[in-house]
Amino acid sequence: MPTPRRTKTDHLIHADVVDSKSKAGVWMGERASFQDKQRQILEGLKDALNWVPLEGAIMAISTNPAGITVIAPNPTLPGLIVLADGGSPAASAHLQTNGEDLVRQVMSGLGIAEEAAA
Amino acid sequence: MAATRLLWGKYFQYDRDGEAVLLDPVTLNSCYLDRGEVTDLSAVPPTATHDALSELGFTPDGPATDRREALRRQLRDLALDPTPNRVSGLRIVLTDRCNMACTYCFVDTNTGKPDMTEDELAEGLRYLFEENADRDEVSIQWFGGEPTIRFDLMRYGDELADRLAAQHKVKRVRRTVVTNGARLTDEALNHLVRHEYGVGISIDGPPDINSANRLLLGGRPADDRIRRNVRRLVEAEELHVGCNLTPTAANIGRLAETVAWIIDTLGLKFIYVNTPIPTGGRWRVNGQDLAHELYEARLVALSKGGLLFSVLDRAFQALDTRRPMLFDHMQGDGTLNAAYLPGKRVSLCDINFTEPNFLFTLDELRYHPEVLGTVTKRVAPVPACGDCPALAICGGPSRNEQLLIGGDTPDPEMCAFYTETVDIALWDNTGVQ
Repeated sequence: MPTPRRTKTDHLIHADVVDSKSKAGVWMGERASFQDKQRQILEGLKDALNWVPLEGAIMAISTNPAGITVIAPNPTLPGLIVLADGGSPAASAHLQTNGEDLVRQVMSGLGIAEEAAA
Repeated sequence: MAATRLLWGKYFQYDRDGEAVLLDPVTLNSCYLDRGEVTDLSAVPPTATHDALSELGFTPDGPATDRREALRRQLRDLALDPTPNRVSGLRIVLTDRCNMACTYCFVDTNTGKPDMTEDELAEGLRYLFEENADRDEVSIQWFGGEPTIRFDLMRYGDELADRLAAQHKVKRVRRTVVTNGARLTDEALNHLVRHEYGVGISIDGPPDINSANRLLLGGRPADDRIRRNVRRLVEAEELHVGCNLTPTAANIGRLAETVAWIIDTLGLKFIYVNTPIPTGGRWRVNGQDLAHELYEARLVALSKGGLLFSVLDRAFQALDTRRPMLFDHMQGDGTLNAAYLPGKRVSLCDINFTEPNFLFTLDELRYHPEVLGTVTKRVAPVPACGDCPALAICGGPSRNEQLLIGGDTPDPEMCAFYTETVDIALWDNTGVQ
């Protein structure tokens, strides 16, 4: 099925890039504000979900293809979690494979064996 | 880069490595097709892909429409009025005196014209607060020349603004200053902290880049001094400090490296890249290259915990929200930030202080608010705009750009820039943009 672009409204709308120059200071002021809101939202989510903290996660950023890959230690099992979000479905799959391959390469370089699930 | 073609005479189809993205340039709907679907789309309809596209609103039938007229209708349907409804902020040009002589500055500096007087400043602020009585916020931005040369006026204006805000029940005053960072007294720093300023420092990159266009009046670079002052600003609490970066021949090709330097060396994590202004009648940078550089630079900033904004964001916001983003100088709430100049004159375009069409007196604005329509954008002014995928993201040149380039026809580099931003944004649907 063709995939519609997701609707996203959590840009820095208040930063309003359409009128840019005069609002540089406003954006700067808003950063602390939106980060505080992010913390509040996460606290709210914690009440609605079963969750564990994801310590030590990183978000890799790629331009070719465009996308992000969140790589985090699995908090309850051996191994790392790799979650890719690319600019298109194929790019997501590409990034996911790249991320997993890279994890394996690094493991190999460190001499850490991949553990098979029981 | 993706190849672009027109599907069914109305949708832009971007093909890349067998996949495709379809874009409706008026509604800003877009969708992705995988390789199988691209193949299916070229088969005799109806196929499963045709049916699925139809459900998403992409159909081969329907009357052929004038896309420019369709966009204007879309703007009306979304209640997006191109005419500003009031002035909610002032860029206050205290003086044209400057301690630097930057080659590309859009302001005529050090002309010998008189600075703003206290009386003029007070009248401008009174107008701003009267117009925004009972509102949540007004914004004041000190500008020049180098506005800190008249720090005495900044201090006077801030104190008056506090009194006027109380008198007119304006809940908040946003204060910013745009400075080159070459001078910063302890007194000024304490004042900025006390009023929780946003400080935008104009700097183009490392010394070899910055000194290409930004030198002190005597011709010497000011980089060491600027770096010391930036450190003092960054270390001060309650201040929001960022960088206004101008793309120039010296940093184009090195924008990502420049951004990394600004974050790593200066410690500035908030960067705004200025949009090229066609002073001299044309864009001086390659539009396509600039779009890609901004994209790369933004991701470099993100990877270093920084934030970088530019006009590139228009494409992402428009596609993600399905709302046109083409009113260049208006705020999201339909208000305008105007420039207030010495001599009690207001320019309705805050990046052009000399164009007579934009200049009004305070009384003209008070008693004839319809003059705000002077800056109303003529949406898609040339027929070629109707054939452009960036129709609802660029919308054609602003009134200011039209005056600078001497006509309706956009600068080709501007067109190249916006069409490239659409291409980039269509292929990047990730959560970080």
